[in-house]
Amino acid sequence: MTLLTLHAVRLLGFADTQTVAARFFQEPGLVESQLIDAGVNGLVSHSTFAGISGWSLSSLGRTENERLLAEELDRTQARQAVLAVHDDFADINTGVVEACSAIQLHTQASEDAMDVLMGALASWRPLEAELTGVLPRCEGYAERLLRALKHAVQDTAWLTATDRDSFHRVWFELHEDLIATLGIQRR
Amino acid sequence: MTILIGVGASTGTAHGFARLIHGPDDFTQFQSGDVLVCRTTDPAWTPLFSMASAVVTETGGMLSHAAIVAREFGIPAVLGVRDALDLLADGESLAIDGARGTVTLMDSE
Repeated sequence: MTLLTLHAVRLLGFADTQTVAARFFQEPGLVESQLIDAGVNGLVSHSTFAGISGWSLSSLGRTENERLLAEELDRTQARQAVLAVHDDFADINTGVVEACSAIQLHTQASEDAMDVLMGALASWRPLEAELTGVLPRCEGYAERLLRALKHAVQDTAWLTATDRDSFHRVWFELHEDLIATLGIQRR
Repeated sequence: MTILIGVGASTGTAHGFARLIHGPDDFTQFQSGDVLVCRTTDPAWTPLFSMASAVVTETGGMLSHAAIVAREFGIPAVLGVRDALDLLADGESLAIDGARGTVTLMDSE
């Protein structure tokens, strides 16, 4: 079982084989066989849930994912760099969740929310460059965040919706990636 | 009547049966209309929100990812309810008020 396949399931939460393979640009046939093997070993399960079929991590799979991520951090000697990125991300994250909440609640702060999110993306770009310098698999978040903001100019659902690759959905996934990589618990 | 207090992070009211979810292994036990009761959530939990009548978590608050996702699904959320997993039991009938931030155990009335 490769780290990338298991980690894709972790980040996506619940997804079909094609989506899991696409997350890290892997070959779908290979990923399917890895997922089947992982299922036999109790690391993932395939189920139909909320009207859709897909793969999800078991608790055992989550533990194995975290073991592989820790091994990756040791191998790449990236722990300090990722910790520094996470600390800076946490500062930006506060503004992002405030802005997303303001948009949903239509408070006065929502007028500035788009600027806040654009600022967050600008702040994230150099952090992604630092991160991908040590962990290339982390590339792509800035591009997806930008795509969401571009769509949001026409349709503000792209800021917080859960049914598309919205700004918040990408940001939430990025947050999960950072804390999973570092093996820290969500507070 | 037992009332637990948390942060009302997504408005609205709902009634449903408590479903205590400790991790992904419990997801298949979740039924449409259940009240999701858990410690915290991550992106893997989003499909549960689409089936839940309400969400109760032990962690988080007004400005958490769970609050944002709950608002998107238009379901009430009471977050930061201390020891919710210990104080609530599977199948208990709950009334959730996402504006007041209350979780009321209907069986104990």
